[in-house]
Amino acid sequence: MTVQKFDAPYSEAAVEDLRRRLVRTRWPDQIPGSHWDYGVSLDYLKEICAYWKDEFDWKWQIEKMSAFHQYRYTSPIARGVGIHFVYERGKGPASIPLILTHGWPGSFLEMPKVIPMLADPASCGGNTADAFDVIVPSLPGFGFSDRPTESGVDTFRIAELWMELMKELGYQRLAAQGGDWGADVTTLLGLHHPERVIGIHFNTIPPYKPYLEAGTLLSEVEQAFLNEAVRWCEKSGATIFRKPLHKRLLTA
Amino acid sequence: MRIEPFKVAVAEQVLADLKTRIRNTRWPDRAPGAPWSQGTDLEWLQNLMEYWAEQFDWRTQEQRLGEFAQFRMEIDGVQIHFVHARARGGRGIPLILTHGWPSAFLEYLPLVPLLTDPVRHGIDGPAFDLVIPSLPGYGFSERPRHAVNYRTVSALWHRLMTGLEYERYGSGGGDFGAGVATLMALDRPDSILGIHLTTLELAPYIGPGSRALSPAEKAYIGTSDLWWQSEGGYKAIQSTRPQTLGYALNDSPAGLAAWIAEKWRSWSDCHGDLEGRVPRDFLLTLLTLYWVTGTFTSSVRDYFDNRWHGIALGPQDFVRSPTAIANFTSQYAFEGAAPREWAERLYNIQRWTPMERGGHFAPIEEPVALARDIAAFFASLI
Repeated sequence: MTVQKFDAPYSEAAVEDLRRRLVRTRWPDQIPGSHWDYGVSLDYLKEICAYWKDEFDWKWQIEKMSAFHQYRYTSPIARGVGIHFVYERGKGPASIPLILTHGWPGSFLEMPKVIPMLADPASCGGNTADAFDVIVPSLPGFGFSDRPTESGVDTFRIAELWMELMKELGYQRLAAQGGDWGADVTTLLGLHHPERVIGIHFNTIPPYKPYLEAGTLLSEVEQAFLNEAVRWCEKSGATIFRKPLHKRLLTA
Repeated sequence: MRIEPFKVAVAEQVLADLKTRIRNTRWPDRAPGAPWSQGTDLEWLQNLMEYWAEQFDWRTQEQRLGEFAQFRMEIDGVQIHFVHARARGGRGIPLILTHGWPSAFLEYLPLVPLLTDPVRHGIDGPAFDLVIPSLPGYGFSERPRHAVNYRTVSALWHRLMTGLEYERYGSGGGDFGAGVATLMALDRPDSILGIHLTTLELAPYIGPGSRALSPAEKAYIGTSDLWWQSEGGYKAIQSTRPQTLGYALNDSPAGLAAWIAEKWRSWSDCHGDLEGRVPRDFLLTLLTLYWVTGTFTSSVRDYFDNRWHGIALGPQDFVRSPTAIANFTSQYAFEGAAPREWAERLYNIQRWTPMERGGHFAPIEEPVALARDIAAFFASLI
């Protein structure tokens, strides 16, 4: 069996260990009145950690998660890395298979609100004709997917893995959606498998810079966007902006 | 100006808590690929942590530190810690030596015997009165509540030296310390005998009106740019979100050790074998100092403050004070070797010594070569 049923595990010992660590937190100081200027505000973090320690109920969250059908998939292409995914079949006459990919620092937990809207539109005031079969994997090394033990599990390989998974689930054609790393993976699905991909949808602009012929003129809004992005990188510490995709891959 | 003697004495409870935390470390997986290729190697760090918890003896180190006369001076409401070592047999040349990041006053202690009593150690040249402070927010020095840049520290150091009744003095350092020494000379040339640097912390002005770059300068800038791309992640985070990083590293000895040791390995002339170059007990004394004083977060504010509240060098900025550069360029992750003409854009270079061995932490790596260079330089000025 390459696809197996999965239930998120609950461990009392892990929760206890987490609590002990929260209790023992050794706080740094902060420049008085600096709020979020140098990074996360000390007051805010203390408050959220106190809640995490005293009130947050992980067990209940696990129970909520178990309302979704979850599985793990292993295949040779993943070299032994098991992939966790949520799989909700659409309640409609002709559901379109749709794979939703999260990014960093996110997880499959970004999706629970949209899953019923997409899989069961009628329950949210929509039309059953618009239903999707929704597949929400956890990226390798995230959540309940395995952590790769070798280098090279990049978005290219993840995109291939997603195609395999969808085939395993019986889908020849699929739609794809994502943000952040998910937008990266989704781009590659559309780029490498146009014959199997119905369409791709992004909630963040994918990280690839389009190929520009020498002398290409950017529009005013494109230039403004690039300028703003450079400013953002400067302010938030990113040193690399927009990875260039191999020239041949993005020619017109 | 109140000056009080200071003695390092860490509470037993703090040391016991440190050991407990080390033993409770929750380790990540080993990174795929070659050891160290994605950062500090897991096995190496586990080994170091085991030694830190089970064998390293802080009290022995504390006793050794007690052999150096230490004080705290209150300047503008901030306690500044320093070692004060007078020349053997009388007044020496006053010299303030400033460390950088991720280091501490400890880095300069090997120079104390060599420069306060050079003859006894076979070093030609004058003896020195050494002042070795802890940068604000490092070790036992407090950090002011406002932004602190090279200039702020240079002004504090001037107050410190005059408080010790030194009217004219030399200044030396590496990393942030080189930046501080430079600003001392720029802002108060009349007080400065000369400055001695082991790293080029500040880039000179190369904008409009400056001399065209030489081929060697271009090559140096190219190497340096590549270095920043592959090695500069620490600076990107420390200059934008130091506080966020601080929560993690103030709470985890293993995290702190991984973050700091990796820099010592990359920046020293160790060929990848840090402990072959920097003794384990020194490294752990440094890490324990950062830990027990809880100063990681305040130390990295230097990156934020110098980036957003820093000083920009313009065409008019030139250090007229005699300047010596001991060019230690054999870092394991090579940053490039600045040519002399690069330094001459900003400094009145009177002595230029390319060093065959030694990287970023010269006083620990090559104390004798450094002491000789310092002694020879100041001998030429008096």
